[in-house]
Amino acid sequence: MDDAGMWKRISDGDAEAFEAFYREYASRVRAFLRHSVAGEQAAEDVMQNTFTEIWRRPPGFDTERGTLRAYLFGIARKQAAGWWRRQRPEEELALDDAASRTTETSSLVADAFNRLGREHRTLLWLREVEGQSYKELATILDIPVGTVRSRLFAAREALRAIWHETPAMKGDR
Amino acid sequence: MNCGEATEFVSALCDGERIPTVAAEHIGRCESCGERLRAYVAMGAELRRIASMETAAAAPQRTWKRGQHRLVLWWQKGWEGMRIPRIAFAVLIAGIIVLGSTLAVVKVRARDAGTVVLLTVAAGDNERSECPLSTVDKRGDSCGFVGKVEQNTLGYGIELLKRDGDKVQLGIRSVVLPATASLSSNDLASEPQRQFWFQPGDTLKVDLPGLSPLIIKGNWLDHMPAFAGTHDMDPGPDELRFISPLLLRGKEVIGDMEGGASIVDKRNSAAWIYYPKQGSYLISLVPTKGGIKARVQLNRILFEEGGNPYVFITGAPITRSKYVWVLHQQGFDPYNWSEGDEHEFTSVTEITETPSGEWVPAPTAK
Repeated sequence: MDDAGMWKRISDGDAEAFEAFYREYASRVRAFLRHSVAGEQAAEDVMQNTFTEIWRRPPGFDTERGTLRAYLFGIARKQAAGWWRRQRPEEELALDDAASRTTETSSLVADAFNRLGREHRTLLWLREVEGQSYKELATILDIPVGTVRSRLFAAREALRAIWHETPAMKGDR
Repeated sequence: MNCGEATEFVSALCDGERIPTVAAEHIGRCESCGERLRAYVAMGAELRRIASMETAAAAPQRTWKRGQHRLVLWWQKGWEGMRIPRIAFAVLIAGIIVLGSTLAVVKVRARDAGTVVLLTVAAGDNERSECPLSTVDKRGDSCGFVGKVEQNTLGYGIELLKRDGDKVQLGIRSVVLPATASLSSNDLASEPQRQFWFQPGDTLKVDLPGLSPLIIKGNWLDHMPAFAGTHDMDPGPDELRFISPLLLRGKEVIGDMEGGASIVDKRNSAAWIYYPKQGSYLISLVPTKGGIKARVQLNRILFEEGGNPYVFITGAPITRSKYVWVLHQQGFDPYNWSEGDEHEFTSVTEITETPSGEWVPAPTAK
């Protein structure tokens, strides 16, 4: 089913359609949020809020503006930004630090990735993992396509720089 | 073209984008740019590998359902313009929140064998509610709240699902709507229930969309408190307390709301009570348009209507005032529910003063 068809069913309150939508994307959104907010529980909560927001306010999606998937991740990103705004500054520092240490899939790249700034993490994850196109990224981040290109380059360079400064990496490469 | 000029195109190339011919030629013959491209590809592959592991676990199952009943329906049935900022969710919620007094609250030591968890729930900057939850009595294992918080209407319901040693599992439903929106028990019931393990003594943060998180703290108690919170028995100057109100007509009980409570603490607010088949009663400290002046005796309100004597009897002193006003609307049906589905409930609602000095339910901004 295409985005327009799926969205019509969701807008009409078709719980079955929304459950299918949730099943397909929930774990992916949660994985994305694990790198956008601090902690497993926060990622779970923000993911749930993301789907709840869409379920409660279906008029928000416009098929002319992009794909349903881009819309979903755009909401998730905004929810994550809201989550960070609600943290107290001193708490945020502690949480950010915690986020950089928590990974169940430890690897040099993963460690380097977790040391990136949030915006870079968001952009790289959506591009490399979710395969969002430049146009979709422009919609999600609300920036021009040209800016997507330059920011992706900056994010990759930042990741590469951190990766290369990792002591173990020098010996490996 | 040199490496400095070509690097951004390396990133674009990695994304499958077309790049200028000169950039493509440079990258093809430049060892440094080739190395950068391989690094980008390797980084992307590693991120996808990580994601493959992180998305392996399925998200928790949820049931999605939209509520059918909204209180806006009953605005159209005679209470047009009325706003309900606070309501007891009688279907979902057996417990009471915001009952007054510290009387009879006995805390037990952490990790002791209490049977009741007394939660303190903070929403926004000013809203604090008490929520006692029983681990042994299903009639007292849930509570809820609706009110204005940070320019929004917030509703939440908390249910104690199970206990495991010192910890309890809480099921929490919440809904955030614009401040002008109405909210019914069905709105909350249609929300997904999130589940949390909570250990009394700890702090639980529950995220809300667009609002500060709920901050939940708690202690074990050895019994369900008759009163909780910080109020004493003496009502404040503008306070009107309706706790477990029973309504008598003559000697006949025509309404009994055991466990329901509305506490008004502002002059421009009123307690609002609905009994199935009896209609609604708006109780205020100021004269309402069409309201009956009623006499207050400690925990009783006495008035006459249609030649019949009526008495509200409540579980605590009601107000310092000698008189209140009772506005009765017979036949008022808030939900238009079928027989058997109805339930009583109470809430606090805003009222506004008219030029003639009478008070009416506040107009609702749409």
